[in-house]
Amino acid sequence: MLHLVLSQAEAVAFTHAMAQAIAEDHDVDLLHIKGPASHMSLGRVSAADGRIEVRQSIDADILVRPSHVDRLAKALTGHGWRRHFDFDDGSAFGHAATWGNDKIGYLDVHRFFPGIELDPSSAFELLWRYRDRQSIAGISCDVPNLTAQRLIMILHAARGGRPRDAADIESAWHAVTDAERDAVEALAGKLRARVALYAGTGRLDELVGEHSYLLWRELSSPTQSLASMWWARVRAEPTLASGVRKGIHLVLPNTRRMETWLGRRPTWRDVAIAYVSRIRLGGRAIRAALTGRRRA
Amino acid sequence: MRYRVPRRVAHLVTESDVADSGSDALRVSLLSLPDGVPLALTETAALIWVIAAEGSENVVEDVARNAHQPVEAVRNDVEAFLRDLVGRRLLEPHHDWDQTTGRVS
Repeated sequence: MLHLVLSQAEAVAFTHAMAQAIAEDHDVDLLHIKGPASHMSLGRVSAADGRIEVRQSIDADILVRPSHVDRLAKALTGHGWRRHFDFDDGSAFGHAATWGNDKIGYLDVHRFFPGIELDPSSAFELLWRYRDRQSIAGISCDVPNLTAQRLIMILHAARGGRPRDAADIESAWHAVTDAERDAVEALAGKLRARVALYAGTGRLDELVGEHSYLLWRELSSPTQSLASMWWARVRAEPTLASGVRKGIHLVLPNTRRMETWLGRRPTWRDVAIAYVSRIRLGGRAIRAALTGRRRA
Repeated sequence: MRYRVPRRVAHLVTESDVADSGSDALRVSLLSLPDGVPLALTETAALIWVIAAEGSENVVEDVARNAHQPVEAVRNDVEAFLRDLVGRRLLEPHHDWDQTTGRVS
């Protein structure tokens, strides 16, 4: 009667519940986002038998108060969790770290959300102040309010370009009332997320010239070129120094990712080959970007 | 005796179609927070947990009725399983303050 097999949906829900319990025990402020943390009007799909169900997530996502990230990391380690990928190992935004637990599944710890350009601490405080509660696996969890959830869903979908992303934008934007859209727009203004919001809702051309316009044009484009994306990410950095660092970081290989892909620690030869390959590819991308820029 | 789900027990109740049987299979997944091992109850075990967790005042009778069995045929097993669940802290006795008697029931 008692056995240990969990479905993916159960594992994700339980991961959220575990994270909430650990957060409460260690005074960590965090908001559960996406997947089973979503309001019932968002992120739902029709199953084969016609029932409406939560879209399957492969991991649990949480957004943590930036000043509590280290405390959470210590707490997770103390509870037997292992950090598989650090913030800089993942997306080019460096926004999320991935933790794993042998008993459950993966937890994506966000320290900020791509598309929100207000400083992460102020952004989190705004989302936290107007938060709601939602039951996940019978455990009461802190979540962004519905307006914030709609915005976050659009910001996430703006980077995707997949059919499910179009469905998310439909449920979070096109299917809601004018007043609800105004509320999302107002929140985007406060969070400095208008560029990403407009990218996700097909209005980006209204914001030509904005600092991150180029980046979100590339991110939301169905045909992204390496050169254009590289240049857009470098241009989106707030200072010249951070832009140079970003440009180099994007070109160099990530040894932790290599280990995951290879299934073993990369050898010196593996790393050397990867460096040469990336430098060549990066050099071509940089030259192409600079050439294109000069022509423009 | 009434029961409730302890505050720090995550739980999911699902029903899935059983192929070719025309019936639904009840499944309860449980996890004691923050460090428990996840486990799942199925069939009669799941039924007992659900009935108890919903606050039934007569768990044995309600299980017997749902399982189409005589009460005395299931009493010992159901009570033993409830003790096991309480011992594992997957359920806890729910003591109500009785406004009529002014006592905890």
